[in-house]
Amino acid sequence: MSPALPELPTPSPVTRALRAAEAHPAVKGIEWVPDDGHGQAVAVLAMDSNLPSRWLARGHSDNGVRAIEPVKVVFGKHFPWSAPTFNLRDDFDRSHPHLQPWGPGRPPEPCVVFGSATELMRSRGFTGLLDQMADWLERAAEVRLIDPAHGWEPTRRDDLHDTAIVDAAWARSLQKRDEGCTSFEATYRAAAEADGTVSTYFVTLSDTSMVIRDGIRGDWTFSENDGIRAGRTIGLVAWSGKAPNGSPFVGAKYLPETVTDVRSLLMRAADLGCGDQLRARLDLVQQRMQGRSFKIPMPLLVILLVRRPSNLIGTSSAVEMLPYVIEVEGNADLSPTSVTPVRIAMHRDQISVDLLRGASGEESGDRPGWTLIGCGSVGSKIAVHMGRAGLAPSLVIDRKVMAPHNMARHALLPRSPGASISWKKSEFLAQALSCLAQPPRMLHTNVAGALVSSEKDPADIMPGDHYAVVNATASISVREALALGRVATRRPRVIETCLLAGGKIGYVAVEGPNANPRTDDLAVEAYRLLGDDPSVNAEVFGSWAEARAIEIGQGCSSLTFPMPDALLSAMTAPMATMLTRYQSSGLPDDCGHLVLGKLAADGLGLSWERTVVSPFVEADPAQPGVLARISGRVHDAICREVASKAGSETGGVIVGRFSEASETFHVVDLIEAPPDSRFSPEEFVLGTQGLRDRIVELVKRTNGTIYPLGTWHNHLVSSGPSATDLSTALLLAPAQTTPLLMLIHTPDGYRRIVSEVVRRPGTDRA
Amino acid sequence: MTATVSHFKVGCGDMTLFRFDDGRTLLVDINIRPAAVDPEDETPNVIDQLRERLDTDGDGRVYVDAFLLTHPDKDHILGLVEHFHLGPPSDWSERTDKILIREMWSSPIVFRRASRNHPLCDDACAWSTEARRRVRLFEEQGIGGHGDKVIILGEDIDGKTDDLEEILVKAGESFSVIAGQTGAFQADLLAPMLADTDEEAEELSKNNSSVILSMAITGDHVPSAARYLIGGDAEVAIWERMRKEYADQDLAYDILIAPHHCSWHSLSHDSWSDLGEDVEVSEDARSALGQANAQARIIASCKTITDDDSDPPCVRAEREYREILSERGGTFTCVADQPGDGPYEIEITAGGHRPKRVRLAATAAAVTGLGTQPFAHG
Repeated sequence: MSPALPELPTPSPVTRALRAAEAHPAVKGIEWVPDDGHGQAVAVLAMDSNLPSRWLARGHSDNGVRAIEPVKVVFGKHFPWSAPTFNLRDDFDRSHPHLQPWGPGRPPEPCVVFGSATELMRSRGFTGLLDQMADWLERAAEVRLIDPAHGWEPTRRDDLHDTAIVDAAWARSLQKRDEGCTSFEATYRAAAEADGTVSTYFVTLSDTSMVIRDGIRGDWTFSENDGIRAGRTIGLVAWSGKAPNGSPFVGAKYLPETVTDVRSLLMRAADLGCGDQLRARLDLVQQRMQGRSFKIPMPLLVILLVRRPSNLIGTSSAVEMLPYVIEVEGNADLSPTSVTPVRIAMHRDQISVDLLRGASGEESGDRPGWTLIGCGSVGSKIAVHMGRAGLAPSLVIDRKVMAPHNMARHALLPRSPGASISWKKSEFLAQALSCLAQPPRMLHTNVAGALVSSEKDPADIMPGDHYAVVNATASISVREALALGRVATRRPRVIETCLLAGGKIGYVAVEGPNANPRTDDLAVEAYRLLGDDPSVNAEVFGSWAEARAIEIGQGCSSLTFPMPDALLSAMTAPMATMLTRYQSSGLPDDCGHLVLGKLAADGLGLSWERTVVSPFVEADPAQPGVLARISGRVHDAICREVASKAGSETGGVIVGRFSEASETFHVVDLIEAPPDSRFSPEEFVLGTQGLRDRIVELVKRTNGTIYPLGTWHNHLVSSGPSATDLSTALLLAPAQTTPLLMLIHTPDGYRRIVSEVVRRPGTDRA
Repeated sequence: MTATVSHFKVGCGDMTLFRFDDGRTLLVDINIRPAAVDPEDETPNVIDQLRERLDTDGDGRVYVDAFLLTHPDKDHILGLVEHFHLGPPSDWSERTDKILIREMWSSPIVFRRASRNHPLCDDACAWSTEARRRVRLFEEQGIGGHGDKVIILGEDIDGKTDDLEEILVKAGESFSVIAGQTGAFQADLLAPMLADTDEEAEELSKNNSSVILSMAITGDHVPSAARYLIGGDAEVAIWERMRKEYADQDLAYDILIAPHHCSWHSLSHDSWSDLGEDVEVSEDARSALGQANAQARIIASCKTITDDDSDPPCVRAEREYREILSERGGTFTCVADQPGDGPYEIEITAGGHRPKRVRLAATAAAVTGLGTQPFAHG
């Protein structure tokens, strides 16, 4: 049948919608009135339910959906600013889960979209709504509105004013094998109208169980101020046990919300397998009231827990919570036949790790903890991002207190312009994370000092079962203290996060397994990479930093850089994303990572690049004294050069940094031997041609951050330094302020000579 | 889960993918014309559409659980070599990324040489070679793994299939195993039948002897939620023989793929092109194809049917099928006439079959008429 459209008046949003309906394949007929007497246009669409063949043959589905269903569309006065409502025939089966929870007084109204119908209409037009309506009918016929793959649709109770605030994960954990009902302490707030009735209850259930006292004295308290009532009350949680066959009771049939009084509440509880226990508990409350009468009703919270056949939409639990509020007045009747009214309440979760993870798309379940060192701008942003995802650090460490200028770039807000100053940074952050239901341990200490002093076991500071220690201090001292050999074996792996170049470079260094490469190795490797990048090296290594240090307090020598909070957020959000991924999928198992983010010239774009850094090789680790760590990449280059000059010695210049604190050379680059060098089986002579220029260029590029450390050459046999080597080392040492490193590559590993000039003040004796 | 059957738009040819209730897939015939993969050509890209609907195994291979070739005519096997992996599964290459056929369902025709009447196209020869490889492997080592499995549907003459008991299904027998596992269907093999005499064999061969399968398909866990009758290109004499051999309930269907792309030759010995309205229908063939259940569906996999003397598809055959359905309240559908490039899809649910609904808001039809015809601007 082709729909016959009545004569239409001038075009309007309604006539346009009806044209769309006419063109829709599921619409088989249209009848309409331009004005139903209330200024609303109403159309009745004959919609095809697309019944499958066997049901079509008899004209209806098993649950009574007809082949063609009349759907009444009411275009309200605000159409098209708000979507029209769809109504089904009055005798449509109301037990469908996607019906609005109206009582029998109103026609059944399908919820055609998970979300806002008006927004759907904005994006896909009236045709989009018709598509949804046609889908709805098709699925209603098959009772497939609850799609097990999509999840159990919670019982519709959206338009209600009362709210029960309950930690869902905790409440669900109450459900045991046997049916039960327990009382818990609860608090409430209520908005009272002039006539004394309550428009809204907010009842918060605690996890403290209670014994209801005689006369319920103290269990129920009441105060009123400006129409807001507040006090303590009682919360009952009831759950089902086993089905007659011994398996757990499952509320597999969707029941629309029809509870109106104590009688229907008990009937519903019985349907859901927890009627007996709830009834016993209500009897107890009644008994304990001892005939007391209340001038003001006590809001008794009742929560039914019901196990569903599939997880609730958007959660990882199959237990649905159905909260109700009974206004218990004087001599209230809580017996099974009582018509004392029951208010239907909606559930709002308390902040919990599971809630935050669910809302962030993170899986619930155990995750390894992590330690945060540095609760300043970068650290606080990362901790709060992760805290909001239910992945907050379990330990926060900082040695400083909050200063006013910190508030320009910190994840947390002061309570007033003068407040929150001089708070310990660790405590300030810990308190915020506690509000996200993840209270961390906190440590107000100079961690570098604590680690360097051999009195403390690093494992006592940073728990070994943490998956990582995130160093967000931007402190080289902390970096190097964490790298100390004694410390590295007694702590989790380190991830370092900081900003460089006034916030234009984001820096994330992930230590390799067994502390190789370490974050101090990775820092030098990063200097090399950044030095080689002409688009950033001036910013990273330029002397502008000192020039732009801002004054932050009279006589204060702290160094900080002007940088907007927005830029800091842009840089730290990806860092939090990286940490989340490392936490869920594990740290790299055979290398370290350097992840550098670069801000585009327009100050908006951001690009991150990951470099895999293979483990460093330690030269002659058995030899005591200053250490030499050679990047895996440089080691490979040396091996290649040695192989290419078989039967001869060869060599070149080694480049990197020397750390005074840890007394370690980090070798991250080579300068090849100049063309006038001499290679022979007996010796390698490093030439000079062009070498000075290359060194000048290298030092300039990184503003002296990486520099020549000395030389390398090879021996054809496994021998230690020759007399020539020693005299060359002595010749070179006086020319540099850092110790000189001479690396000797031999068939069975590296040897090293470290030569350093020691002067007594006022003498020139080497 | 709902079973879904996709009828691809391949012109006058057949290409049907069954995705059963348990997720397993059966592909029946292919007609992947070169134009389908030409981005400049408007022919629907059925190979991409097919691949989108298939799963990938742990080794990264897109696969079908089974591939049934009803008979080795070009319009039922075109594109096999180009798009499907043939030969030992260990030779599958990621570079060419062809579809793995876990199990072949083949008629015994693979054991015969191409006759003068029936020259085999390259793809059909390749099918035959591959089926013979798998049969040989079975004879040597027993039933093989995925990519080596084969089932022969129907006995062959001269006892050629006598030693193949384990992988042979004879006409009149049922089976419900696909790629080594019990599937969510029960298939009754109606043909090919063993001819009683040489004369009969000759007659059957002239009539496009095809595999004829009646498949009861589970939908939403309900067994036999819909029954498909697939007959390849089988023509009138074969359907007359079906009528003689089988009872009404054996031939009953919810969905019939109109044989030979809605050809009149499946319903009559007369030529529509020559005789026009003087043709006479074979009552036996009509009865064999007329056992439609209530709200049955007859699907013509062909180009748009025109009211002229062409055949197939034949307007006279369409009329006959519509008449069959008129008694049972069913629907006749020509695949080419369905909107869009995608396949025409049937869902099999607990309550029977129904066409899969297309969401209008997401189609060009709801947005603009531009592109449907030339629009002059003065």
